[in-house]
Amino acid sequence: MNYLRLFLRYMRININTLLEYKASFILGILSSLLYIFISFLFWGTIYSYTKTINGWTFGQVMLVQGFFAMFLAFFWSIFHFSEHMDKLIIYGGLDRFLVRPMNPLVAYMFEMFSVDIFGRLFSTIVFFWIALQLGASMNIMNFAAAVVMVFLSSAIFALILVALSSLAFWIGKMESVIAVFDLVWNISDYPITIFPVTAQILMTFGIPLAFMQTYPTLFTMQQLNLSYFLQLIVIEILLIFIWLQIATFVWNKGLKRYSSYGG
Amino acid sequence: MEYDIEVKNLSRIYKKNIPGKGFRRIFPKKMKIRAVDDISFNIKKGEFVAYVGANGSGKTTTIKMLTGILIPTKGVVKCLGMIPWKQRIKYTKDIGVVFGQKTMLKWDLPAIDSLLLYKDIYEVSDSDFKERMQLYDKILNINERLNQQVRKMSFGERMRCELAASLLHRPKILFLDEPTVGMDVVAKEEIRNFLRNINEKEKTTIILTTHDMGDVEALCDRIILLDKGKIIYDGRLDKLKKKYIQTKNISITYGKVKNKKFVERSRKKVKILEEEKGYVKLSVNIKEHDIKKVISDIIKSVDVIDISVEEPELSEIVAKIYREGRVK
Repeated sequence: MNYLRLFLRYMRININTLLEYKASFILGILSSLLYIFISFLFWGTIYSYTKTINGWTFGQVMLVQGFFAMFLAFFWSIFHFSEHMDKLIIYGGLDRFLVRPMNPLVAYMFEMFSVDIFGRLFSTIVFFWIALQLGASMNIMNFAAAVVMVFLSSAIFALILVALSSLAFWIGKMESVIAVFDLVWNISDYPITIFPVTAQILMTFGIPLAFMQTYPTLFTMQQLNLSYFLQLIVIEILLIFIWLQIATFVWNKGLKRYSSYGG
Repeated sequence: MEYDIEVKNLSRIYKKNIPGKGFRRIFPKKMKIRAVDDISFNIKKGEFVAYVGANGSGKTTTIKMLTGILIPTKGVVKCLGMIPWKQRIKYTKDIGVVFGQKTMLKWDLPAIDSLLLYKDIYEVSDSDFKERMQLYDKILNINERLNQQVRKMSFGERMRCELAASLLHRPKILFLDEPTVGMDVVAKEEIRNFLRNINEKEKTTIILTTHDMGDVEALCDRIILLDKGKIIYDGRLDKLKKKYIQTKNISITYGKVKNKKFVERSRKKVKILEEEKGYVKLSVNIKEHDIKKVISDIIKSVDVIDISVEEPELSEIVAKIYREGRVK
């Protein structure tokens, strides 16, 4: 099975879908502009009272926003499927993927792949531009490495969600569990070093929030040395490995209980 | 004898909540439902089998176990020498599946996009793909529809495209779950022709579930009848008819009466349904009387102008079997 070829085919299909709904794409860009504006207003207000928060300047916080937007771009474009898996299981949409000679999860991931990534990366770029205007320092090589870290963190989140939504085979609707993730993301546009140490550890190994903005920002600003950064990458790969095992285990167990629909 | 599909003592049991009142709604009782209950059958290569049963008789559940979607609770399924749910990737390369109620095509896009996708998934070569598309166009008149968005298609149009997509890779077995439901006569006829063609020319084994006995009569030699998860009949269609047809109707238009004695004799053997001057419609119980004898008596008794014999439709027979339960 040539997955690369299939990936390209799906990309073409997704672009075609996007072209069918051009207006939605443009609205998406407009809404991200609004999001950027509100975020800028919020942090701008706070920084009008103080120069730094626990060492973080306005420009640096904008970098954090940029990395978080990049995380969302990766997550919602590539791993979009993980948020909808429970519905796939409950409403029997899975049938379609089980009768094709492909790994059903990979097939579903490809199918849900959203080319909106270009629209979403747009807000990332705007945040970085704002950060530079505000005088945040950025090292280009370090930035490139940080992008890898952000990408890996979106994969970790996807795997956690796959593992959790596979519980839908037993439980049914998982909306409330997935809603918790939205809550988690509410605190994820803050640099984690402003939280207590225990919370920081939890945000590295438990729900690995720190990988999606704080560490990449610190490394881009050269406040993190290379060996420490590489250790963090190793931790990420370990987390991916662990969650991959868990997700496959739950998925395979669940598949045996799959009851489709009707009939 | 090599079989394409071997099913032995297959069961699928699932638990269903019995809804109660008040607190019982929160902690409902569980009940075991045998959707498919200990069935066995074999299907040879190239057979065209109708899998028929009332709603909720376990048809779709069986098909889903045969295609590897559901895992059996008990029993053995072996298709093309493989266990569907265990060797899924290898197995699904050799089968085609069409669910009438669910689309395999991308809803938002023209059908051609989905066909190209399936071409890549099943690794169909360009020349093969072209050849297939020509065949489809010849029988299904598909080309003009290919550039239309799937969601704007009528059911008949969509089904043509679904069939095309599911047969691109020349599968050895084709599973069809209610493909003609709600289609007009012309569309039905086209799809039947297409299926017959595929079955005869490419020796594709086809399993069809349907509520339309017209499909069964037009296409299948063999019928498997299902009731409450059990097989109640498995065999040739004509044998089922022979077994179940108890009465035939004879309509006669006649001139003058030739022989009063034969009229009396005939009247004893038949039930008269309608009668007017020069016309009579009779019903004969063929289990009790020899229909040839009855007809020859009639010909001797009156001056026959026109005569026709009708047997009840398959759908009537099947409806009767559903009502009465098991075939013995």
